[in-house]
Amino acid sequence: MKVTFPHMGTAYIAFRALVEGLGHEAVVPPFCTQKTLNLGTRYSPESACLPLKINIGNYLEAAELGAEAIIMAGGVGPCRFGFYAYVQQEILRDLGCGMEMVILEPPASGWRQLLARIKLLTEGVSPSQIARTLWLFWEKLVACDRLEQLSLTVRPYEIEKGSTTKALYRVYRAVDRANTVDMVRKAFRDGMAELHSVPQDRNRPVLTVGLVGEIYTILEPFVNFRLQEQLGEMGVVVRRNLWLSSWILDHLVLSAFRRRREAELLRWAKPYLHHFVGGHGLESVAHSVQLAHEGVDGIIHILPFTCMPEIVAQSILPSVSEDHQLPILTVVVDEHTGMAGIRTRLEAFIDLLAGKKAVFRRCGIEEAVSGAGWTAFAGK
Amino acid sequence: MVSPPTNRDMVQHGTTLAVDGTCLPVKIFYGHVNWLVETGVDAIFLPRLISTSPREYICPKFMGLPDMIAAAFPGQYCFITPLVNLSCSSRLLRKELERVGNLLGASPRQTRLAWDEALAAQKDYQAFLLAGNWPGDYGKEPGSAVSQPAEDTHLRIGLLGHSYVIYDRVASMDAVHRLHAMGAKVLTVDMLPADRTDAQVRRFPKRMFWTSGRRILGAAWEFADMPVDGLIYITAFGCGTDSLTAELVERTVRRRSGIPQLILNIDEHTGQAGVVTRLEAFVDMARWRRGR
Repeated sequence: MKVTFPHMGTAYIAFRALVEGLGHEAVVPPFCTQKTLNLGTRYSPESACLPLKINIGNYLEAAELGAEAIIMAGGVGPCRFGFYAYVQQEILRDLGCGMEMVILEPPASGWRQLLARIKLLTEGVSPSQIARTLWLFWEKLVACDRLEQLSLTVRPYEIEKGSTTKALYRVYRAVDRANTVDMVRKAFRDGMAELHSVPQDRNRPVLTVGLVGEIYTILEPFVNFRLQEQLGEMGVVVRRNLWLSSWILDHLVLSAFRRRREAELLRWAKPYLHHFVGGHGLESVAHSVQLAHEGVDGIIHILPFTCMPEIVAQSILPSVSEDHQLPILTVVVDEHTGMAGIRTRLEAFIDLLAGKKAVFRRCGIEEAVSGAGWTAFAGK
Repeated sequence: MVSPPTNRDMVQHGTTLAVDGTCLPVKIFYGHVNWLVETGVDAIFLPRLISTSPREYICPKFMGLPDMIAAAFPGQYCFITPLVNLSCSSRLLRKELERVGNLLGASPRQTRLAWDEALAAQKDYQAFLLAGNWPGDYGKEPGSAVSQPAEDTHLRIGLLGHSYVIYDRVASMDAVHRLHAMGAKVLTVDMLPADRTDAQVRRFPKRMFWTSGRRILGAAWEFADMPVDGLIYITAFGCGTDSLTAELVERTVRRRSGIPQLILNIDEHTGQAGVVTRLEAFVDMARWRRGR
């Protein structure tokens, strides 16, 4: 069977391995483009959040390539994501697109149900092959995440603009090609070395910005306008605490153990947010406070328009910003967001951070916080 | 002290206080809190509604609402925010109630009695709605209630939407009264028995984890089976749960029966004329279909 899945950053690398390991043909949808977005917005409910629309675009483009089934994640709420697959199924059905949907619901809603749902994919595959495939899947996820993480600290120092990104994509391809765990590990080691060897000017002064927000908009470079690359090329080290592998682990595997992780997040989020609000709303607040303590220069909060959990976070973050004297930029993206608008706001924000840091350096922290430094800076 | 029915002023203030992408009902909520703050109260009762039914939620914004409000009205206000989470054990609820009672100077016994009384009142109110009455008429003399047009000569319109939208005259642009004036009998989700809507929604392949989404989807299918002469779904702009529930309703009802549907999406800029025109056109069309 030809199986496809929606794009979400580098997830396609691991999902390709998963599908092929189970003996199916993987149809990776073309990378998200304006065409994907146009297709998605045409057939999706107008006020649905952006990821749903892009998913639809992905499915339709994959259907053109002959995909017969879709792997999609579910959820137990309260975020809308839990119903994505069902609404998308209805949309595809009305379009006459006869693709089977394999919905991976978190085991919190029942292991038996999960196994019944994936039967379509696992039928006739030996348990040992399934285990091997899952292991490979996991290794690839973690490898991609860690490579991306390294690229964030290399890119701001690169001497030739774009060289890190070029190296990163080369490395991704190597991970994608690997078809055993050992090969993935080798590709990973080589990749790390390759990224480290990108020519860098380590004496360059850089800024550090924390990235928080809704996971899809953080991970998918098409919807965030290659935010991490843009920032890196402006000389900014990006730090974030949300990664694809941790999301898969938390969302699809360990959701039963969520409470312990949640308690830690709640400790950080106090006194701003006292309860889990679905999606990554709590993470956005908790990570912002955490990053503030780690001493970042600013925070960028990104969310799709009307995202419910992130609106809670967005309403609360101004208090975090004020208490920690930390600039926070909120970026809301939807199908009408333009590159130029985002670019302008990023540049202005980074200028502000650089100015603030310069003031700090010039007149010491006390003066800067008391406002005397600002006045001096603004008066110049 | 209870804030008065929503007015334009509250919408105005709420829109200024809330972040851009917030849905209209939450903006209105900010407006109500603002009214209370300006009127000068000592504390604001603002429960944190996590789930009012086991393993279900209302919506993420309800879960974070006390924190959102606290961020918008910093420092000086006292918010009493009991945690209502019926997915957890009933002990949690009792503990929270006692905490609130304690704050208000009531003994645990008094709190328990007050809670029982509140539950009885809620039950009475729901029975009142189930009998086909409107929230505004509750507690009034039986004769003084706004009576609906007699059923036999009139159209039946199923009205879907969150209760805080359809029963709010600003958030719904007064749709209920306008429909009554056009001679339509309006049925809401609350006028259907819960077991009927539950039985309907059980056919959905996934457990519907939004309490009102569950009611709305069940009611839509129930209305489609009755059948009513038309379905009107009033959603608030920016409502996340409705964006998907409305889509599911629209597609499934269209497939199941040919009854006409209208989705009205209302925000703080919606004009009266636009709503009236669309309602009139819809009612005319439904009436024509019925007479055919």
